[in-house]
Amino acid sequence: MTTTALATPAVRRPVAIAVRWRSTFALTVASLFGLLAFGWPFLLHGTSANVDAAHTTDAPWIFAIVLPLLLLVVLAELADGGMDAKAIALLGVLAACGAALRTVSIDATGVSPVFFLLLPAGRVLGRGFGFVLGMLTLFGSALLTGGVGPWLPFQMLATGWVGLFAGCLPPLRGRAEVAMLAAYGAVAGLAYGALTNLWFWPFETSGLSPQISYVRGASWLVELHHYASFYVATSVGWDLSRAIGNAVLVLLAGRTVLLALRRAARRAAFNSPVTFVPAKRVG
Amino acid sequence: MTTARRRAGPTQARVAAVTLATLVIMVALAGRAHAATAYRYWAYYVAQANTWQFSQRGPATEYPVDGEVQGWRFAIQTEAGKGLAPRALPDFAKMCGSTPATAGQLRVGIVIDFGVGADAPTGEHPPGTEVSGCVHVAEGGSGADVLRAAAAVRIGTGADGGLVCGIDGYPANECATAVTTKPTPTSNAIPTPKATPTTTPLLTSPAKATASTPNTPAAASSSAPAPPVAAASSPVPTSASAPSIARTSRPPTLASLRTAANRTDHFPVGAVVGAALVVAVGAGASWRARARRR
Amino acid sequence: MSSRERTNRQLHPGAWWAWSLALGATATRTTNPLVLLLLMAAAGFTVSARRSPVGTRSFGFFVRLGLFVLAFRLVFETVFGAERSGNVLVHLPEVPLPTWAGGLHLGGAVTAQGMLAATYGGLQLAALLVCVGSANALASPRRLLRAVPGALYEAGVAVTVAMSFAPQLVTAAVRVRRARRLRGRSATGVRSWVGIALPVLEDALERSIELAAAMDARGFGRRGTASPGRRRLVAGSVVTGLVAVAVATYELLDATSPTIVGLPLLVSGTAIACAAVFFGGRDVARTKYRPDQWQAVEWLVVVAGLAPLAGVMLAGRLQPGSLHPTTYPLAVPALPWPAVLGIVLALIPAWFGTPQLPAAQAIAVRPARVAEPAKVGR
Repeated sequence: MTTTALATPAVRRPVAIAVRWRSTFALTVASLFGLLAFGWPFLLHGTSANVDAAHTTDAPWIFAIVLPLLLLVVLAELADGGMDAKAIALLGVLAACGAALRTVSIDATGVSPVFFLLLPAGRVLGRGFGFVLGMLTLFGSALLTGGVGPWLPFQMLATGWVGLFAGCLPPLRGRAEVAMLAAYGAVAGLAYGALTNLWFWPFETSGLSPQISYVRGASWLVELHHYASFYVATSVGWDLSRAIGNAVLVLLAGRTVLLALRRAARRAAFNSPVTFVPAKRVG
Repeated sequence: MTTARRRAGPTQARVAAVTLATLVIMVALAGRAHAATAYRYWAYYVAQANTWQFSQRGPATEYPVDGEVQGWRFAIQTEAGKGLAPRALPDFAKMCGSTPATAGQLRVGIVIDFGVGADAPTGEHPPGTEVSGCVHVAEGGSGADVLRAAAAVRIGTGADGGLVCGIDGYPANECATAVTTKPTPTSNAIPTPKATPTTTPLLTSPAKATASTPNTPAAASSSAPAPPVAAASSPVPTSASAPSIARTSRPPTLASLRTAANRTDHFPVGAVVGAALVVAVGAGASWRARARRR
Repeated sequence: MSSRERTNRQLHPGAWWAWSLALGATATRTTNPLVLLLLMAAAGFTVSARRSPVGTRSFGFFVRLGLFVLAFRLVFETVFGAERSGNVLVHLPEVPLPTWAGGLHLGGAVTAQGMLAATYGGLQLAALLVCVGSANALASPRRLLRAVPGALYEAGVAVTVAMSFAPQLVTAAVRVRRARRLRGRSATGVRSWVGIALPVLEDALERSIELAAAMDARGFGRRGTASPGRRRLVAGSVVTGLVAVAVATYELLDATSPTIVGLPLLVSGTAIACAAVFFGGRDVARTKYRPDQWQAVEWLVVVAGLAPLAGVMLAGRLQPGSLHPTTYPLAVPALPWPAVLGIVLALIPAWFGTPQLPAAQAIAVRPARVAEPAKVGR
């Protein structure tokens, strides 16, 4: 079975990091919790309207403590038996590339070429790899720049999602694939900006003009409206330029990067060796 | 290095222990507030069809129309939306009937209910029971403008940003504090409502300032066995007997509220000491940084 | 602790992180500008006295970020203004916005009350940032990486590889760029950027395969010898913890259910899952070169960091209102004495740990401490 799979190039999607059911479960729970951690201004209004005081002031604390721990559990679960030396080496090298790209791009334009590598990598090497690569890229760049802060777990999770979903895109090939990746890159760029802004929105705007700030206890529709106003007023320009930058970069170089990654994945032969089946047959 | 391999395991365990301990402490601190089930704050109401409706919007985004009545009630609210409304009826005709309409101005009736003594923070007493009146605000003004036109308002900062924390210096310091309610329905019971005709007229409340009296009749009336069911289901005060006749504590008038903001100033020792400390530590930091550079 | 120990040893990075994060937690509990400024001054003082030789620039970065946040809030208050009544400083021309903006208006009166409230809020965020920055400056997060539990060993190695490989990437990029220029091609613009990045990427991928072969050859990836029963126990605990977290998430989302159930469930679920993963996992014996030690001094640092937090809690009880001074009406903020006392106590660790190192010595210390685990990546 494995030998036939190895012999034919039919396996188009090598899985660099196997996602087993326990890791899937951990990933799902962490992602659900992450959604809550990002979206609590809309989700946690509850019935007590005006003075959800203790709840909403403490909520960010709880999320800031629990989310990184959950991410560590997910990482440990993914690593447990699913990560071999090749996956680690590839992860390290690609994370270094991504981190270097990120440090290059900290300027006013907002164009961040991090996704430029993450999208093809998630696409070629699978969703588990994409998720871990997204997280480690952000972590590595934070270590490089000395910018470790409470925002890091949130950024890591958001980038992890970008890589994860890049590994879940439908199987297209050729130009259609590059176009799909570019479109996804644009969407992901916008969504990433909106999500990560959402994390600091309640703090950044507390006490500012109520039409753009988080109002304790208001209904989720009102909060959404306020957040949309805030987003348009502050960051839509940056995020649009990031989205367009992603798409253009992927259109320009996506094919070459995909090819290079596929070749590396083929040489690493991720799907083959763990079972030792051929060795037994020979012996 | 003799300690090259010493205690790799225990160190890890210690790091983990510290992390876990910090986590537990943080969550214990955060969770403490969650155990509380009620909040003590100024709740904001808007009258609709002569009944009080809990305002779904904040005062800053609630825009009144001419002829509207808004209400504020200070109380321990167990559940917002079904909470304790101002005890006076929102009767616009009574409040603003004698006030002529002006072009470009809205006439808005306002009721400020300081609540009962049982709901007051420790060491404080409500400065009165309630006050009502009529205010003018410019067209396009918000509920916050209405309140400001009527009384001295204290607004929160930081996590309490934008919240109405105090009206006429009551409560003095706190802002929408979480309180653990006792099982007794004391704070939940709606005090027997007063007859509106005697209390609502603008600026004509009976006077006798006795802030030192700890047992205000309002508190006494609140401890009367009123059915708690009524508190939860009907925020509409039913016009009933009038115990307010015997009131000794004087409800401040709108005019007195407006001037009440001027409190006695004393020399801010704390602020000066704090600023001096900041300067000292900051100077120390820059001195050490410069000493390093040399 | 002996004086020799105090002077010859860098403190455990975890202690400094706990200290700084506790200071940051203090900042989130108050908007009193005196307390916030004092916190920032204390963090700055400790950093100037005790910063680790590595990563010294990051504190400045965080301070600038804090100033930016403060300026951002002031600009926002000026433009979008929350507080339009009060002592008017300036009257800006007003710009009406369409109704979909939900009553948002630009310009108008800028009041002292509004600006002061914005300053307090901005100072709070700036203080938080400065505290996090002091953590980054006092103990490089890379040193924390050495303390990762065994379950995260693989991820830790990947990050270490990334750390040691990133500088090589830069040299590789410079090399490719020079080669392009020697061939007479342009070295600026988007096209050339792609032309440089792709060879670098190819090179990087090539190296990763080599690195993996080298790691395999040296027996990397040895699994532990945990018994099947223990493995099953760990798996069961992880799943149980995660189920608890999932249920708690639902509880928190569901408005009708009491949150009293959700929060402890969340905490205990996370604790169970983490404990199972970190302590019950594979028991592979891995040696560490010069492990960071955790001794009495470290505990002292942690306790000193928690002092301001305790002070703020106490001040909230004793002097309610002093933690959130009012800006409407304008008032001089009161000084919460317990919090100030706590911050003064937090200054004590500024005299702990390594002495100030001259630059040359600092460089001599660095490779031994930081670059050592990077050997895997070479």
